[in-house]
Amino acid sequence: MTETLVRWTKAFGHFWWDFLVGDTPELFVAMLVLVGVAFALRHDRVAAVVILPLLAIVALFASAWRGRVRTQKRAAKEEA
Amino acid sequence: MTSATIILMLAVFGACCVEAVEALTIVLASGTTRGWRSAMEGTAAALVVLGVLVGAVGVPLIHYVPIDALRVLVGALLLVLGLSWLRKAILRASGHKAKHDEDAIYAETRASLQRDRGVRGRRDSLGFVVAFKGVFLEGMEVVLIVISLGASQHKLGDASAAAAAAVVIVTAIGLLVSRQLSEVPENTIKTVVGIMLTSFGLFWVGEGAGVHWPGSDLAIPVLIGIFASVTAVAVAIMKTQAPAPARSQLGSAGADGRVAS
Repeated sequence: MTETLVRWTKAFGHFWWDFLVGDTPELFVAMLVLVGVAFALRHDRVAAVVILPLLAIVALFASAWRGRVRTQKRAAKEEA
Repeated sequence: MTSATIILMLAVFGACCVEAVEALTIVLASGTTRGWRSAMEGTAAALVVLGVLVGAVGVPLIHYVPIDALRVLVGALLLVLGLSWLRKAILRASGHKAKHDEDAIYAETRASLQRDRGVRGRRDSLGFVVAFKGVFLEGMEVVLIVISLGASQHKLGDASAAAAAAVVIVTAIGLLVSRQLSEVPENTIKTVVGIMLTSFGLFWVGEGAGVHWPGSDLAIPVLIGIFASVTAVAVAIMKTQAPAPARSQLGSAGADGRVAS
């Protein structure tokens, strides 16, 4: 019974880790930054509606670029 | 029905279609190799568990969590999910990542199930488990999307209906053609849904934190337009950086941009 509970808890934790962090920890950090910035700028509407989308775009580009670099490094390693 | 509700239902429907196609591939592989009875029982059991999860988590969320806290929470979840789907879509469309290939997954799952020569009775436990896991794991992302989008707008019923419609349509088409749906432009749908989830996520994080978007709900289609343009630009830039073999394949890719992996 305890063993099953531990196994289920581990699987549950593993699912959330994979879902939130996985191989893109930069997106998890970006999400935390976006939430923080949204609260910090809640009284400055103009700044918030400009900066929030911009930050999300920067995070997306950075993460995609990181994915590209990782793919190329993996390919180079396989070739070697 | 407001524009936000229509976009919400489209996002849930699209996300559910993608995941249902992936789940159907696994169920078909299990059914054709280990028997249909176990595959169907595994599928039904997983759908019941997923439905219970939506009710058990979604309904209390709506009733007991303050709406602003709920919006920040679900907005943050949608942002992570949406940005990660978009990132994958950009890498796939620009040739930096292999496309999701249902034919390959179907063949791989069938081969793996055929290798296991366990005793097959009236009920095949391996067939049941493979179908259950396939539907449950693919369905979990849909459950999160249904709960997040449904709870943040108090439209859990509409979101669930859109998800159920997608499951019924994909299953019906799958049964009709009796094979995995590799022709579905899954990568394109995933890109569109990624754009919608990111836009909803950003909108709800802002609203929950106290930022009032210009035009209220009308800001959602504007955000969708912005992220669609950004995705197109990102794909164009990344294509110029694609490795040589991928770049030559991009020229002959179909509507889905499917690239042989």
